[in-house]
Amino acid sequence: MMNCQEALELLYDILDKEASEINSKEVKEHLSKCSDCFKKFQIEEQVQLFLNEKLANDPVPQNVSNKLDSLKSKISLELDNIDTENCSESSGKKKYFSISRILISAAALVIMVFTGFSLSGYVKHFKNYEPLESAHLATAKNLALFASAGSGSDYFTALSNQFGDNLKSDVMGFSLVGGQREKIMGVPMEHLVFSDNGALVSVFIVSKDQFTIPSELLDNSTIFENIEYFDHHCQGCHLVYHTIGNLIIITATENHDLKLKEFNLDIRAI
Amino acid sequence: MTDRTTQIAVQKRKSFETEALPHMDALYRTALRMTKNEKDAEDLVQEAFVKAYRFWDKFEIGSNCRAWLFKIMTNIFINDYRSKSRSPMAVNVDDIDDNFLYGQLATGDGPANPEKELFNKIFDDDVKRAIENLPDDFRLVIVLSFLEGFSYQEIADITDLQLGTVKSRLHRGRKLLQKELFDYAVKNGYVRG
Repeated sequence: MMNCQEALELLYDILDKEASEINSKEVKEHLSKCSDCFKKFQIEEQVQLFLNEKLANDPVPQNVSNKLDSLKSKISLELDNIDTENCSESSGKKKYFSISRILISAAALVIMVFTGFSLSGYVKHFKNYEPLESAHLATAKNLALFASAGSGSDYFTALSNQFGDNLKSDVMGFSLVGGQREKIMGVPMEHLVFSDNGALVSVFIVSKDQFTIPSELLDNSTIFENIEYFDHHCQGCHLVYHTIGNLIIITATENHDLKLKEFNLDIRAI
Repeated sequence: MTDRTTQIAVQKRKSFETEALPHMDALYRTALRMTKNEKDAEDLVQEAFVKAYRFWDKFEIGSNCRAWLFKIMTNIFINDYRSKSRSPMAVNVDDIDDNFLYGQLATGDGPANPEKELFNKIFDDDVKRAIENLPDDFRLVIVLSFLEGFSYQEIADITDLQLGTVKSRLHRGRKLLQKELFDYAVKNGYVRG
């Protein structure tokens, strides 16, 4: 048989649903016999319900939802920063993971919502640079698929004719090892591959009519030897664009130390 | 970066967004009560998620994610956000009787449910202020219990306190609240029966 003191000691345990079954039963039994304790329990319960109700309604949920949305975006950005922390920085430009591509293709809407703010950056990279990077990276694996394009080969001859004899097959210690016509971003491009038995450089040649240099690059050109170049650096590759006559030439390499501008200059053999 | 490494990184982000981020609302709610201003609350929640993401590899998927996140946030709150000045309480909590409101209300001659009339004299702002006036240590366990519904043991884990200390702080916090709320009611025109 429980006395008042024992019952009251368990009051908050009972209220918070933390009391054991045995204790709960014994307290209930005591309350059925003791009106004072019963009244005490009742008031404590009312206070609790009152507080819970007030707490739940403040702040008003409608006012908070805007805050929560902006908070969600801020957190997303922070998480993005952590995700891209491992990218090595060069020339201070922003780095993008190829994680972006997979994130976009992931079906989960919730991910799209959470990464809403950074999606535009990722989409840009995915759209503009990733296809070229992939095409370049693929060469290492698929070199055999590329036509033998050393000077004297039919492919190279045809190209040279097409471009009016402005191509060299030996550039800065790299020799032309292969080439093929590829469709990248829906546009047919000549894809030449140079190798120095260590690094690979891809040279993409495309007509101005069919390809535009991405606008964010146009704002950040550099002049080298009187020619305007446009750079894109990221963790994957280094891309350099420039125009010559009716053509746009894009060189790509994974080797960030390679002076692509000089490479570009040299290949044109002017 | 190899494909495999990227795969792992994507998996990490995806699982974090599925498991952890949905608790943001609750964390913000508590952060707001603890910091008492929106800007700090936002910063606190942000910091908590950043830290949680960095430690996400260490978290056991399937275990109590909500409590884990609250623990991280509470930890940051205690270290960086808790008011450094501990102003002495206006009233000594130990001087307040247990079941304080019962003592005030149950006078025998009044209406059958005097608490109803009392509650009517307590406004939403009063409750908000009463909670905010609680010392940080009390407010923390009160909010974790009343607002978030954590069990005593969960609160003990989150706050790194002994179970007994959690119960004691809840008890004393309740007494303070009852006293405070009664004072507001009197100020707002509640006349004792």
